[in-house]
Amino acid sequence: MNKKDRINIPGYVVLLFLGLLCIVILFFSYATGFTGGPLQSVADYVFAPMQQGLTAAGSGISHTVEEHTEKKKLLEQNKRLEARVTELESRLTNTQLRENELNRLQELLDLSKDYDKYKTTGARIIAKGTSNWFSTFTINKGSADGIKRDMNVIADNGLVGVVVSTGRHYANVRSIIDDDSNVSAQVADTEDQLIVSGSLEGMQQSGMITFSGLRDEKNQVKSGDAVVTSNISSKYLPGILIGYIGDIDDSSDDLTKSGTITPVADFTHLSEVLVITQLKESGS
Amino acid sequence: MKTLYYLLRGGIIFLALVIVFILQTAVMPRLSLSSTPNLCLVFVSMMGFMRGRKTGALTGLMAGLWLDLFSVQLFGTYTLIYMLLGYLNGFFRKIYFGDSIRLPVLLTAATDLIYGIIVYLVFFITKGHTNIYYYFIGVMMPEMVITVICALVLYFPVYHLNELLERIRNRRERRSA
Repeated sequence: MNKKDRINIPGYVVLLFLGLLCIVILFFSYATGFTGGPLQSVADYVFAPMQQGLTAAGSGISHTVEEHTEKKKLLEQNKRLEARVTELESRLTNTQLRENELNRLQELLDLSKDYDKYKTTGARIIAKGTSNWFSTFTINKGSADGIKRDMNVIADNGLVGVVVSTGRHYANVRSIIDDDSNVSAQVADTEDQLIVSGSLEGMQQSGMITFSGLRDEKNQVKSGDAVVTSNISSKYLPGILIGYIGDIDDSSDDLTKSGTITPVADFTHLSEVLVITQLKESGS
Repeated sequence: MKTLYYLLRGGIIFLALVIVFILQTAVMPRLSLSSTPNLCLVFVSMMGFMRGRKTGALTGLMAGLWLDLFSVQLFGTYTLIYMLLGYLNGFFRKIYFGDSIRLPVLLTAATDLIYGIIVYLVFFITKGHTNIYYYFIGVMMPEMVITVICALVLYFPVYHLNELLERIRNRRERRSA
């Protein structure tokens, strides 16, 4: 080997240089909220289109696999459900009558729910989390489609997460089951405030996330109560359904209660979501 | 001429990394496995012990940057972790000969486990999740097992990729000699 040709930079110098570079990037992004800058264009033109294509192919494959295994189960279920449908249909007519009445009364009171008025845009999930530790995903719409940071994401009529960073044609969403997620919420009936926190442990073990800080002096809140986003939240629009209370644990301390919540959105089978193209005006 | 060969090798690694990254983020989650294999880490680790500390660190840097782009953690966290792991794997180049699969399996398993422990220490213990036993059994071990299985599959394409890179390097040396 020619001596001139050999790479002369020793390994530890490379390590030191790259380590320093990483630390500079870390501090820079901590200070400025930098999420990729020029690198995002690479993601826009290289990764996002490929992910989109492959995700479509991948879901095709998984669908056919699932179809085979679940066909039998579905047939059985179908029978049971058909019986149930007839039963429920009769109940539905009853409920519809009541709903009409409710709507009429709400109109009279000018109280129709804010929730239905939010403008949404559909988006497809093109990539899921970069690690098993966090529950985040990437959708196929970005700043070019009007998606902005802190916009709320919903699916199945329930809150899914919030947009954390955007590229031109993609956006990263942190779901509410992510361990880093905290949502300021309230119990729909009693309007008691509480904090809903994602939990990796809870989701893996029982499909539930946790809540804390519930001040419920009169013991009115019970299992099964609906929990919606609070109107004092800084990021989340008010009145979006999060889930239903599971267990309430009031033994930890006397002041506040904590417990578990079953989220409404089905996070394991999420493929399309709706992004609410309206930002909470927090006055800041 | 020398730079051109560096760029060529860098480009090949970049392309391979794109494929691995797409596999990890877009295809694997669709297969509804209980735990997603960390293919990027496998690739970084393999580049480390096949091609040395410098290549390992640079590949780790590149992989970490892409992961940071698509994650919501502080930008630069994955870059640092992957870069360090790639560098550490480079120390094992001396005992890698390519004829046995034992070393790749052991190293990818160890790398994934160390990665899990680092993530736990950085993101989870700081939030008061002190139940390390649960996270070890519930998150780290499943990921490690599935990652090692995928590493066995990924080993052969990466092995041939390494041969290709080696050929390119030898050609450069013949020319410059």
